[in-house]
This record gives sequence, C-alpha cells and structure tokens, in this order.
Amino acid sequence: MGDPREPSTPSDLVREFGELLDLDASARGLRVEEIAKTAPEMARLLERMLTRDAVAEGPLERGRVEVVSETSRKLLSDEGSSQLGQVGSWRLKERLGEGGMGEVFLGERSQGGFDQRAAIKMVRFGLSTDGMVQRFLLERQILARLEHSAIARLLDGGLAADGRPWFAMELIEGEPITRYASRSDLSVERILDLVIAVAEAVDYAHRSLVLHRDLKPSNILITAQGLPKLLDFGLAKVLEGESDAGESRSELRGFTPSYAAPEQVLGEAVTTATDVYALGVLLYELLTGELPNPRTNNSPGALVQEVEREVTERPSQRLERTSTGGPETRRRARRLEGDLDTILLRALAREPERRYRSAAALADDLRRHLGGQPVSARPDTRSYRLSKFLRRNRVAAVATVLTLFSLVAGLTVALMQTGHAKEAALQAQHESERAVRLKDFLLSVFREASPLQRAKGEPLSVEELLDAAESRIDVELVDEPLLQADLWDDLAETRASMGDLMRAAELIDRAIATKRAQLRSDDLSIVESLTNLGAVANLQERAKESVAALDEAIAILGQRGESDSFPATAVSVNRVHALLLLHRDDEAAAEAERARALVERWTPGTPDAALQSHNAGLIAVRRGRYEEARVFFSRAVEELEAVVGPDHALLQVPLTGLADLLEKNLSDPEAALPVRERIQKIVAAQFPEDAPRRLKAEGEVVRIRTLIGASSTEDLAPPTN
Amino acid sequence: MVTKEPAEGLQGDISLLLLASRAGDDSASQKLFELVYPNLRQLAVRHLRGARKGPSATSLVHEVFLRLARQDELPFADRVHFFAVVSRAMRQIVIDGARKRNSAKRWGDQVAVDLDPATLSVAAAGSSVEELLALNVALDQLEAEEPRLAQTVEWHFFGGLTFAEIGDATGISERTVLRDWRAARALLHDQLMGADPSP
Repeated sequence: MGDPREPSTPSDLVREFGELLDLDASARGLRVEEIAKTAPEMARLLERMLTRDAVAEGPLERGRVEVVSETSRKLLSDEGSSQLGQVGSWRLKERLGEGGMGEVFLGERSQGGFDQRAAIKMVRFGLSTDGMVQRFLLERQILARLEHSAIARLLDGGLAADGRPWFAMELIEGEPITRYASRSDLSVERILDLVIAVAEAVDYAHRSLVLHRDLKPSNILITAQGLPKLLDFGLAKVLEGESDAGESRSELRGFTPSYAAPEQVLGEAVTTATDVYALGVLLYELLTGELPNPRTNNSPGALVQEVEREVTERPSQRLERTSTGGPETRRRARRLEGDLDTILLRALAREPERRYRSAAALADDLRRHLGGQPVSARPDTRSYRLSKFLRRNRVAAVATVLTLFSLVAGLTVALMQTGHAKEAALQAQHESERAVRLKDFLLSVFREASPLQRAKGEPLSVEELLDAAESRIDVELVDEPLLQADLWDDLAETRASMGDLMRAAELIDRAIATKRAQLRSDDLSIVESLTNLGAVANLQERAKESVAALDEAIAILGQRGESDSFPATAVSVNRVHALLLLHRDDEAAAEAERARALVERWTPGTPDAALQSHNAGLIAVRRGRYEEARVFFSRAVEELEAVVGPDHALLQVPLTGLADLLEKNLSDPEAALPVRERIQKIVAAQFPEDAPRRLKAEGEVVRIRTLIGASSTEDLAPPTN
Repeated sequence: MVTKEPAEGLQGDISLLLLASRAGDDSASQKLFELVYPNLRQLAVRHLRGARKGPSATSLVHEVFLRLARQDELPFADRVHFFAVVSRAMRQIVIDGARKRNSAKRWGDQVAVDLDPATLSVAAAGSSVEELLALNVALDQLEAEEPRLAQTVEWHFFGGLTFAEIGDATGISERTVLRDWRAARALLHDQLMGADPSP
C-alpha cells in the first residue's frame, strides 16, 4: 500500500506520448504515421490520447478533489502565477477572480493622458493545456467580432512574458441581473425591458454567428446606469458559414445545468434556440424568483433522466403555488397569466423548433405584450400537452400499467375499450386526440407489460404507480380539467380491474362532476362516463345504481336523437348485466336482444359479439335452460378466441360462466376442473402474484380439486394445452 | 535518528511506522493508514466548515503531515512515503464517500447540508459519483501497467500535491511530472469516456 515507487522506466507508449507533446501539430501527424508502420495499435492509441489531451474534458479535468485542491490550487496560483506584473501596456493591480480556466485581473494603463481600467483575462498558470489555450484564444477571437453596447468589449490582447495569452476587456462594474432585480424590487415592466435588451444583445451575437451557450445571471451584469452587459463568451461557439448557421454539436459539457436547454443536456445539436431557452430561464427566474426546472443532478446520465421527466410549470402557477400568499405575489401571478405564461412556455419549449426562432422574436413578443398588442406565441394545443404527458408517464410505466389493465378490466368495462370499434366511436364523438391517446395506450399492450417495476429500477407496486399517476394528473393537468376527466375515466378502469372498485367509482364520479361543470349537459362524453359508472357499479353489485346511471345515459342519447348510436351499445350491454343482477330476467332478455342488434350493427368482429353469447348463456342459466346455456358459453369462448386468441384475459369471463354452470347447475365438477385450471393459467399470465383476482382463481382450482378429490395436477392437465 | 519516546507520542509512532512500512512491514503500513485516515477526515471537515475560503499556504496533505509527523525530523524518503500514504488515504476517503452516496442513490446539492467530509469532497469535485468510482477502477488498472503514472494521478488529483512537489518528492523533473500527468489523464479519459472524443 502506497509504497513509494522509484521513478520506474515508463513504457514506450508514455515516452512516445511525452515526445509527441513537444511537437507541433504537423510534426505530430508525421511521427504518429511513422509509429503506425511498426506499431499500428500504439499509433491509434496515441492519436486518441492526443485528442483527449486537446479536448481536456473528463473527470480528471473537472477539478481535483475539492477539499484538497481548494488549498493546493491557492498554492499553485499564489506561488506559481500571479506575480502581479505587466502584460502589454497594462499593469495588473489585483486579482478579481478566477473562472473555470482563467483568472481575471484588474488592469490599468495610462493612455492619452488619462487612466484606463480593464479586466485582464489570462489562462491560469499550470493549467494551460493545448485545449484550454485554444478555447481561450477562441473567446478572444469571438469578443473581437462583437461590438455592441450590451456586450463587454474587447480592448486589447497579446502574449505575456511567460507565453500565456491574455486579453483585456471592458471592465464592467455591476451586479448579476438576478441580484439587481431582487434588490431593486423591479416591476414586471422593468424586468421585461431588461430582458428585451439582453435578448437584443444575444440576437446581435447570433447575427454575428456567435452562440453564447452559457447565458446565466452571473454572466449578465447590470451597470450602475441600469444597463445590462453580457460577459463570458468562454463557452461560445462560432457558427461557421451558412451551412453551419443552424446547428452545432454541443461538444462541450461546460454548460450550467439549470440554464441549459434540453438539447445541451442530451448532447444534441445546439442552435440559436439554445440561447433562446436560456433567456427563457432567465426571464422566468426574474419574474418568479425561481428556476423553471431546477436540476439537481451532477452526473450526465442522471441529468438526462431529469430533463426527460421535466415539464415546465406556468410561471403564474408557480408563483401561486410557492408564494406565501401575499397580495403582492398574487397580483404578480395574475399579471403573468395569459401572455407572459404563453411567451415563457414557448421560449422554454422542450423542442428547439417549438421555441421562438430567434432572440429577436422573443424580444418582439415581449415588446408587443408591453404595448398591449396580441403576442405571436400560442398556448400549446391540448393534444400536444397530452402527448407530452403520455411520453413522461410512459417512462414511469404508468401508461404500460394502464394499457395492460384497461384490457383485462372486468369484461363489460374492458369491452368498451377494446378494438377499433372504440376508436371509430371516438372519431364520431370525440376530438381525435383521445383516439391518439388510446392508441398510445394500446400500442404497448402485453408486449411491454412484463415486470412492472422495470422502468424505475426499483420495485413499485401497481397501486403506487397509480397513486403517482393520479397525483400527477391532479397537479400537472390542473388547467386541463377535461383531460383530467378523460384520464380519470381510464384510471377508474384500471382501479376496477385491480379490484379497487370504490376508488374506481370515486374517479368516475369526479370525471362526471368535471364534465358536467365544463360541458353541455347532453355531451356524449358524459354518456361515456355514465356508462363506465354503470359498469363499475355492476362489478360492485350495486345494480340499482348501475341502472340509474345507464338510464340517464339512455335519456341523454334520447335527447340527442341517438338512441341507436354506437355509444348506446355499451350502455345496453351493461344494462343487460345490471338487470341480470337484479333478477329482472325478462327485461334482461329484452335488453340482450337490443344489445345483440347494436353489437352486430356497430362492432361486428369484436369481442362484443362474444359477450352477447355470454349474456345469452347467463339468461339461459336463469331460466333453468342449462344445456342451452352450455352451448352459449362455449360459443362465447369460441367467438372470443377467434377475435383475441386463446390466451387473452377476456376469456376468463365466459370460461367462468361455463365453469360455474358445469359445477353448480350441471353438477359436473370434473368437467369444470380443466376450465378452472385454464382460467387460473390465463389470470396467472396477466396479474402479479398477489393480485386478488389471481388468488381467487387459484383458490377456485384448489377448492374444486378438493371437491372431486383430485390430488395431482398432472393427471388433469388443462385441455387447451 | 528515529527513536520512540513517550513524549513524542503520535509523532514517534508515525516515524516508527514509516520506517517499518518502508522496510516492507505490511501491518505497519496498515497501521499507518489507519492513523492517517481519521486525521485526514477530521481536517477535511474543519476545512469545509471554516477555512474553505481563506488562502492557506499548505495543502491538506501538508497539514496532516505537520500534524502527525514533524517534517524536519523525517528523512526525505519517509516524507515521500508519507505523501504516498496520505494521498492514498485521501483517495480512499473520496471513494468511500462516493460509494456511500452511490448506494444512497441520492446525491446533488441537497447533500451539501450533510457535513460528512467524504460526501462533501465528492460533491465539491466537479465529477459525479459514478465518474469517481469508474475513475477509481481505471486507476487500479493503470497502476498495474504504468505505476508511475498512477502514482502521479493519486498524488496530484487525490492528494492535491503540485507537480513541483511531486517532482521534489520523486526526484523527477517537474516537466516530466507534467508529461506523466497528461499521459495518465489521456489514458484514463480514453478508457473512461470511450474512444471517440468530440473534437
């Protein structure tokens, strides 16, 4: 451990590398080529090492372990570099500070009879790798081409006696824009004025083909005159020519996480829209006192995940949510509502192409707002927000869960959601976005559904996922009540399928209340929720409530003159079920006739037809026609298999009808056993181990085996296998 | 030269341990490490609490050194050995902290309220926990192939020694130390960050 090594002879590789470092670029190339003749492997490695050395980026570059280097860096700079001397015509007076790669001194010179002061920036001694020097020179070059009142000007530059490059910049005496704003308690108008001025400076830089890429409050100082000045183009990028004008890879990780645009974090192309995003962050922070999306992760991987999850809260909403509720804050929140919310969300759009095309366009919109003219930004469309919501929630596996369970929900509920008939109906009755969402849900059915906890890497119960989904819907979609209601409907189905019928009914009640508040009383969307309520009430065996809800649905359809429309199908199907529960068998038989007619008209070739056979079976049982019932149930199974295949969860419903019939009415438990076993198998494939439905199916098999005294599974393999 | 006297307490121990450790006594090396590690942690805490901003003429390693062993009384070879031990201990502290945070699966600014020096030192370095852990592994590999380079990294990056100090301690020119550092850095980054650096 820690044995001091005698200076051992370094390997050829290290020796060659050391020699290459002394050569200039062209000589290096020649030397590497020469090495490649005898040792191609080593030559390739050397080339990579040289590039790494030039890029100067990585954990070893990012600062040494700080407790130690805090002091040792002082050592370096105190002893090594800052003998305050002279560079060019400038006398160095004091050290003003240090940045990532350079240090800044106060410089003075006498010229034309008066003293001039400047900020002198130099590469820090001992840290001047080629890569750093190149970046430093690039910054100097960039400043040289920018001549704008709101950008710190380049005054002079050269090489110091020790060979380090330096340049002199206009000395800005001011304070960071955020501190200035909070200290001076600026009005919204004054803040907008400042940001307009900053945006114009940024736009000027863009037109000069320079991207700043690191705009943040500490780089934007406000002078004593109240004017903004942009500093630190240390991470800036020159757009080379027209071909490159739009894009540039974000090759440097040198951004500031909370101000970085998503594409910077994700390592995608960086454009002028990247600076627009940072301006958005700045304005958001100035107006609300908070960052739109504070990012807390250091590691690139975690940061990417964080960015992928985030959704920008409207600034007015943020103020309301976080404020202590003073009248001043509430007034400001109201002030931000509307235009400024819209403008900021546009500037902060996740996709660069959805943001303002330029900093100037942002400034224009702010000016229009100040002038009371309509702004160009439009709020996100509902469907866009919806698709974003889905994307995020897919990550959280919620959509997967929803998808899975909306298909295996109690039969009547699930049938309403299954197949293209639903989609066709939605086109008829809903905005197309609902169909988009459902399609999205359906896409990943079963295929993606395997381990529910996979997505987050930690075991999450389905209930936890649903709880999370519900609270996210509550918070994030508070401004989209109708969207909330739609999702509540879907979540209700999921809850119902998991046996939490109470919660399901609550969700549907909320959905209905919301829809009643937001929509005309005869809106089809209300029919849909009422139908869902009827279905859940059936599952709860609260058949009277079910009939009440369904009758209301029928009344609405009647008012609309759509008694035989597609939505009437689901209503009718559920009503059959409810009437059966109430033992109103004759009415049930009549409703079943109606249901069959509607199904054949609206959804031929879907599981709905099989359900009618199933219902016919149930009615036949009631009427004591057991052989007839057996035929109906068997037909329901066949019809369903033809539509959804032999392993689909829906099969458990007619199979259960069949098993009950065989066991109880036909007193043939031995015939019922393989049916029960098949149910168990289907359920086991779809539900987690401790799901009530699964336990129940297993219990049934055990019970019936005990009943007939069968002890071995092997003897009685399910016939379907 | 080095005698163990009760009055010298710790310092005497250190000297003896250094001597035994250099002579190849593994248990002495182990004891030495155990002595250095807590002292270093304690100093790190103090630094973070107070002296963080103020200029300090000595690095943490020097402070430990002064604290545990009186510099002048140690022969040169012992001093080098001491730097090696302390740098190794510092690396251990940092990596322990990184592991701790990694297993806690929560790092970032919020941890800064926790004044544990190990976690803080990780937070303060510009690198992520994962990066530091990966670096630790890569450094072990480098040690097998290029021991001198690995030592340079350990002393400079973890121990905070300047290139000049490393040069003094090892008798290699500062220029060569810097070259070693650049070679080591390029090799480690090549390994850690893949073979395709963006230009």
